[in-house]
Amino acid sequence: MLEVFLVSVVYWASLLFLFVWLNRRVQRLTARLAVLEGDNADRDE
Amino acid sequence: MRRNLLYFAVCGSIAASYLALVFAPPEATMGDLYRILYVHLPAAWICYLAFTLSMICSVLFLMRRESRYDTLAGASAVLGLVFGAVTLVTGSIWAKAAWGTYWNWDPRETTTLVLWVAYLGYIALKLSLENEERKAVIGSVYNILAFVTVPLSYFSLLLFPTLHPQVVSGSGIALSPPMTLALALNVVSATVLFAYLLGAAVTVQSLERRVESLQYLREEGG
Repeated sequence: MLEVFLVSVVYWASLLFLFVWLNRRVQRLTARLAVLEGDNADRDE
Repeated sequence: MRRNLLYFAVCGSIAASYLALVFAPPEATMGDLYRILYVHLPAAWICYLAFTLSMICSVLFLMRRESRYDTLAGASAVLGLVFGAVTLVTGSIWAKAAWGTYWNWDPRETTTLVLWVAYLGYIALKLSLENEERKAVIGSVYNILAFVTVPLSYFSLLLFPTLHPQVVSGSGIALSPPMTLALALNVVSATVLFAYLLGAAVTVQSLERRVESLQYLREEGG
């Protein structure tokens, strides 16, 4: 059963990594986008 | 919608894990070791699905020249690479327990590694090109060519002599009904999880494009 446990760890760790990485990337990019759009709005004014 | 997909995927995965580890009986020759199948096969299915979807999106991009198709192709290929890596690693662990070695250049192992490296090349190609239009067009053409490795990997069981077991064949599924039920639920929950992750990956790629274009405008203006 050690192999089954190892395989489960590999699978769920990969999916958890993907989930966390994608969500953190969305948060960072959304924040960066807000800053850039704010700068553009200031320049237009 | 995305949140509902996530809830469905988490609940489905918990139920699928219960069926795989508790409900499904041990296999006659391999005992409990065969339970690796419930992770290995869904990961392989998602890998093939992701690369097929990626290829279809690349074809659509070349036909219609809409950037959303290229975004979807890239996002799907990245997920395919992750699930492909999981397939290779879980297969190696299973091979070590069943055949005594992690890697023995079996045709299925080798063709799946070729498939994985081909799509790693696709991502590397997209990352290496600066111009957005060139990146999308050259990437799409490469993606369509790289897709040849998907049927090569899938049909390697029929094309070459191999030790790899064939669970699903033309004559049906070589599993008892409880095993089939557990496998089906694992495949469905992995597919829903893939759909959720694909949505998140597409959002990331779309945001990256918008940030890059705004940064370019700022540099041009300043």
